Amino acid sequence: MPKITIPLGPQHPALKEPGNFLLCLEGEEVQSATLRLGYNHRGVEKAMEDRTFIQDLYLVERVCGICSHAHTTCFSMAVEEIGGIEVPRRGQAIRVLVGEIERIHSHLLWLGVAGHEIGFDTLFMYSWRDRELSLDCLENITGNRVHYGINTIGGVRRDITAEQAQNVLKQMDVIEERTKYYIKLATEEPTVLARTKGVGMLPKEVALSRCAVGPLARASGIQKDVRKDDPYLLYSELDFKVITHDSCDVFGRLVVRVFELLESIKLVRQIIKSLPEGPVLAKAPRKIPAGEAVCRYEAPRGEDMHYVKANGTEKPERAKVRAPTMANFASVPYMLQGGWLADVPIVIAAIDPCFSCTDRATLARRDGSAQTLDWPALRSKGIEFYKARGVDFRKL
Amino acid sequence: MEKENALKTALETNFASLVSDVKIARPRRLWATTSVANFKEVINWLNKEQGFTHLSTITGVDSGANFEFLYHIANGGLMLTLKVLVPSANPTAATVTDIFPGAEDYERELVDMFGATITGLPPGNRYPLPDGWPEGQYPLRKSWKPADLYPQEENKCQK
Repeated sequence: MPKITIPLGPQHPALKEPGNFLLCLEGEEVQSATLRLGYNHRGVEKAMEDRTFIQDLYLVERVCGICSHAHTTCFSMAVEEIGGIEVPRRGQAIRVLVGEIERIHSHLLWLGVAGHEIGFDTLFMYSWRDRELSLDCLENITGNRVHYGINTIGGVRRDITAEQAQNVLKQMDVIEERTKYYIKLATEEPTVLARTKGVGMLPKEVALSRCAVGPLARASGIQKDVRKDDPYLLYSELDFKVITHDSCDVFGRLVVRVFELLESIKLVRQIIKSLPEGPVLAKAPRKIPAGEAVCRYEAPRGEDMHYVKANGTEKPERAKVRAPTMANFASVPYMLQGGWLADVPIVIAAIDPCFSCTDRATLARRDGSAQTLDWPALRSKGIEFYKARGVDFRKL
Repeated sequence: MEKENALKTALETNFASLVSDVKIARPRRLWATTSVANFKEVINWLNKEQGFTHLSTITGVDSGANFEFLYHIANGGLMLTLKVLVPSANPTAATVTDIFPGAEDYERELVDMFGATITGLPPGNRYPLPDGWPEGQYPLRKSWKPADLYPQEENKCQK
């Protein structure tokens, strides 16, 4: 059977973000996959060098629309480490609280996307409805559903009231009940099992050598969680389990995420129960002394890493963001190989990819030279684009 | 701090002439500096004998005469940042993809953003800049300004 090469993406491969997967197929079987990323590169790191630490905080918040709190917390912790700023315990607790509710909303969002990819749209509707509860909590505490803007250098910008805490607890009860239903569904529903078991295999050794992180690594049996390994904020005092699974497939990733929902609910309850009293913010200077720091944070998708170098002014000398999806993309071609074309979307979605995070932040042309392409021009542009890369559509 | 001290001593005794400035910044954070000629030896030793199996990322920093390539390597919670000094006139370093296959995109980023040459890097798509990006424009070098490529943007990028 002749091999054919088809491009998947860059427009919406599996999910509503840009990435290009060039798949070489023999029949329905994927022989190899080549990735092309960078469509969302916005030049954030360069832009950060031109802005003050406080302005950068709002910029890194926009690196990702889902785990925005992960990026701001990680960046602030790095700056606080260089500046020797001690965040008050109540401030740390609120960071953990928002971080864990964010994890709940992110995992529920993923569950919906996964359901959609396997043609189980009821699951998508259910989990996105329940995700609204966690977004309501976030809106109630921070004022926003996404891009909470609660972090600042030295702590958090808003305190939480007893009523807000009670409200979170109330919502957690509902989310817990729904999560138990999702656990039953993920582990017993025949259609879910049929579409996820043995799909997108990633053996432990491969996951280790390709430096996979987060639920992807944990579903390949690797005990890797920054909250346990390299505890930050108050995590060393909190009681939670690192969920792992050894099936090394999409099913394992599903199980890890739904059980992590329970752990996050547990963490939210602990934090609210033992919320320390006191201030939430330590005053931070505008100018940060020269120095450098590396900070790690367990985002919903895995280890998020920020490197900050300060030079004694109010702007950083260099800031580096490495989002978890970037680390997990190295494993994707391996997982696609030998699988079926129809499984490609769920395998890609199973790493819970976030392309904008990966590519981070360049430049929009503002010279007014707008160009409108009509359909034939757009089509021939596409054909030429792929022809230059050795893919010829004219024969079709 | 036992692990940190043990690693510091091991680095200093095994690589007395190759590694300098070994310091413990805080619990679980170590820093060390080495030259581009010897860094693979150090990384190999860390990976094979010290259990540093996770490369978090590679950060490039433009510090004038030298580029610093920071290899953030972790063993569980313990993270060592190996600072490799690369002359900016000829930024060439060997690939580490033979030790960490996951490092490919991090190295491509050094190529695109700093104009580095990574010897031994397997062929593949560039990352993260677009295919039509002009030659010789390396955005993360300190000398590069957005106006170099988009003169009409000058004065608009500043607040």
